Amino acid sequence: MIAAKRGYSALALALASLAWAPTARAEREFPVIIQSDLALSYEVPCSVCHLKENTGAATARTPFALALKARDFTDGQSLGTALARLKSDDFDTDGDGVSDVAELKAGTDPNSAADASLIDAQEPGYGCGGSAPHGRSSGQAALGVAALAWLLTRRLRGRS
Amino acid sequence: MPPAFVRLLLIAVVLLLLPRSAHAYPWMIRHDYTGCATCHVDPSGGGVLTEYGAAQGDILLRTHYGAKSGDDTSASAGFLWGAVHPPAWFLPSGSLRTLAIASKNGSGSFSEDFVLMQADVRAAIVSGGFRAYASAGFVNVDNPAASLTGSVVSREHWLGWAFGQDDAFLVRAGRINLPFGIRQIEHTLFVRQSTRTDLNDTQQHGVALSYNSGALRAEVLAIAGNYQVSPDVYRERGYSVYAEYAPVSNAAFGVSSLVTHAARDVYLLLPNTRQAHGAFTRWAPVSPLALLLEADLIAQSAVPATGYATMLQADVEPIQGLHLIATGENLHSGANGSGTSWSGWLGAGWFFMPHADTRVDFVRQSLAFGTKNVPATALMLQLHVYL
Repeated sequence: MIAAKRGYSALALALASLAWAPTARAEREFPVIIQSDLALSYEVPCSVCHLKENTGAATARTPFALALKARDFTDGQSLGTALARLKSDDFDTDGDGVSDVAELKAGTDPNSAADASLIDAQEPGYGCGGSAPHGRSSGQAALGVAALAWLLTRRLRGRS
Repeated sequence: MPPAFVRLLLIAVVLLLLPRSAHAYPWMIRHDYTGCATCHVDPSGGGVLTEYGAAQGDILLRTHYGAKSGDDTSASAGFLWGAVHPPAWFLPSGSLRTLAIASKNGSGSFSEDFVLMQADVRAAIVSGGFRAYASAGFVNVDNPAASLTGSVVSREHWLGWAFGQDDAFLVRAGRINLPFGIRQIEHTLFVRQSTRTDLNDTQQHGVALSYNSGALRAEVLAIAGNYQVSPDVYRERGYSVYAEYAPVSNAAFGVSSLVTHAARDVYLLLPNTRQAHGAFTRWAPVSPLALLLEADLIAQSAVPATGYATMLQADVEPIQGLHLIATGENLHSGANGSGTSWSGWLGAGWFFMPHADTRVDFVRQSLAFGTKNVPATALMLQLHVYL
């Protein structure tokens, strides 16, 4: 039983650590900033910066996103500066001979020499219902869990 | 002692929040475990432990602080540290893994992040030849590839039937880890990312047949696609297979192959046929040391080129439960004018108590962007608690 109590303590510690876990929501301002700063005719899809469309800071790990981060991109305010540095560096992430900024203006993916079109690209949806890339947030799911826990508490209190 | 309803509530919340034990420790070969099926319900490793696997995990994984571990399993080896005793045919499990990371790229400044890597609950049923397995969990990113809806994920779910002498064969259908290469928990390694065969969220729906007996283990998966992504054009179809032979108890050698096609690749947004073919080995030359080596050729039709990814990892366990881990890896896409990415990891992991471990890693990378390489640095701290 002592081991079980210690186990619960470790579990409580791990659960407590969740208090610091941010709900990583998509920063919808970023595509708008890129579109505005580079005068694009389209809004860049999430896949330009996020792996498999998973939004959230932890998944902004495409080569293009890393190239921006290497130029001090951390938030909405620094995105414009990072884009300007990328442009002045004439940086070519995928090494296909066309700079990232030129690729975005041409509507092609700066991450890949395959030059897929980014304009009107149908992004993949995730979930059994094929939810759009900006579907239900983790916050909503957490609320659902909390509601379940509350209902369970009420039920158990009613029995005691 | 907390009131009963609080304890029940805690268990309920835990079951809701925390599935999946992401144990996939190929360095267990240092204990002469060349195969995975004796300890895992998934015969190719990872996930829910069998009763024997949970006992061996308690005996072999954690630090015992001077107490002789022997062959006796402590009461804490069981589910929820032994507080709950499910029937033998029912194997509940869960895992919570959190990550604090500080990283920088190029001349940029360090940024910090907190990632809820896993909060999965899992369960398996093993009754005669019948096998059933399911996981559900929660992550703090939107729309992961294993999403059921939003941030609620199910990485694995399958039904199967084991047959043959000592259940050497298992045929199963559902969402299954891809049988390819070394099944390790570091899902961001180049060999795992470039082949899309990690334990995190690259599972695919399909039908698999595995064989585990004596020195040979193998599995082939007919991939029908990830039915948790839509529309259908993004689903990859093809096969993934590995076979590993262990001529001695402290060394195993394997080969892997994978070919898939999607009408529209989730990364490249183009029709793409992917191929990966490689070899791997696990070797424990002396008891405290385990070496893992994998080398894969990778090719994509959308970017006509053949590249490669390699990985060498050394895991030293100077005292039981404490692991010192060094990893070197590289990746070359094969595209014209592209450079080679390099990465080095130095880490330490400690299984400090039953069902809990922590790990710290320092990662230094040189990432190839076209012909240029950009340095990247990360410091990661993980806490892992499993049920």
